[in-house]
Amino acid sequence: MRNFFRSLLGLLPGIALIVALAIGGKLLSNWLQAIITVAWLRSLAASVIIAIIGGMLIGNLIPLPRIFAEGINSYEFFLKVGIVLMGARFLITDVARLGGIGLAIVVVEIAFSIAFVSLFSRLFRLPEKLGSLISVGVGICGVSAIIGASGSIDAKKEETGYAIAVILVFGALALVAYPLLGRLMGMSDKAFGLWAGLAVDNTAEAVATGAIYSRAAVAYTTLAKLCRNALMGFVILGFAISYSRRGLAKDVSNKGLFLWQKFPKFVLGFLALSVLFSVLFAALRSPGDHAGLVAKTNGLKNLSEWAFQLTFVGVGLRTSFRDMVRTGISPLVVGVAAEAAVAVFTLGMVFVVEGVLPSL
Amino acid sequence: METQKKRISLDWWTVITAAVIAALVLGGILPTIPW
Repeated sequence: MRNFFRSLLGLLPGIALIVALAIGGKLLSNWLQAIITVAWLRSLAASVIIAIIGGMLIGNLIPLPRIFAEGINSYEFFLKVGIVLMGARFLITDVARLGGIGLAIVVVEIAFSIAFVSLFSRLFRLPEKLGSLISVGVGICGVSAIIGASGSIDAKKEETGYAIAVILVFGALALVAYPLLGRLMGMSDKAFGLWAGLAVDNTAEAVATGAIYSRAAVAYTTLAKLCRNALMGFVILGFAISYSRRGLAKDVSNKGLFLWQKFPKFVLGFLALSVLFSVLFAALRSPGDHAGLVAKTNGLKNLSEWAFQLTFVGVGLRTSFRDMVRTGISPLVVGVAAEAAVAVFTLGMVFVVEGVLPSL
Repeated sequence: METQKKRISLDWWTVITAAVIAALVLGGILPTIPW
């Protein structure tokens, strides 16, 4: 118990910094939105952009004391709380319809990513396990998938660090490149949201990319990204079995337990909240009760927005320009090729299924 | 392996935190925070 409170205390300075920057960024955004009259300039003053750029500037220009590090790294907690709370906004029937199509697309996307990265890794003579880690990161969900896979295939620490660096570099680039490309192509919120959820690697950066495009797009981005996250265990299990058969990693004795351990539990929380609110809405009889529940759902939506705002500040603070330069050329070349191929491939799939996607 | 344990426990903490927040908002205890 003492250890629990000690680690909680260690998180407080960084969390306090994130909260202060998130509130400051939101107030600054509200003020800029009120005084800027040019539409495209006003869209650049969105709270998500101010949070990320503000975080990047502070994280890279001001040498922050180590006391803040632990709390800053905890932004993943806020991201996942925000995603679970988002579940209240979706009827479970919509989640099932979009999730069904999403899962089918994601299976194709993951297979393509893994095949493409494996091929390119061989061409550029990257160590096999580093290639596998990058393909898991590109195909599924970035950092947590790489960490999950590295233990299962006995990858070296430096290979894991390298793969994570590659994913984070492209996550940072995606924040700028995808919304710009989306606007140039005149994509709908639905199509762009799905594209960002399928193609941007790390969950935090994917949600931020959707949010930068529009508030409507981020709902589709989150659902598509959850489909990728949900399949993480199966892909890592495949790699673990492949390496253990060749004697390059330890055996997987209990596959069911392995899948459960790798399954991202916050996806269950998201689904549970979606089911709960769908049942509550279905059970309502009077319009007054309906209005009351809508107000409470909006309350949870606002809290989810705040949780994302904390996440975006954390993403900015964590993005290190120095680390980007240090990553090295070969893995970056493989990364560029993989990201470009996945972006084009998923864009094609999005245009094919856009017409049959349900509106949220 | 230690990292993996942390990830799992973080996921459960996020679910517990979100469940408590949802219960407080549904029960009218937590006021609506404007966005």
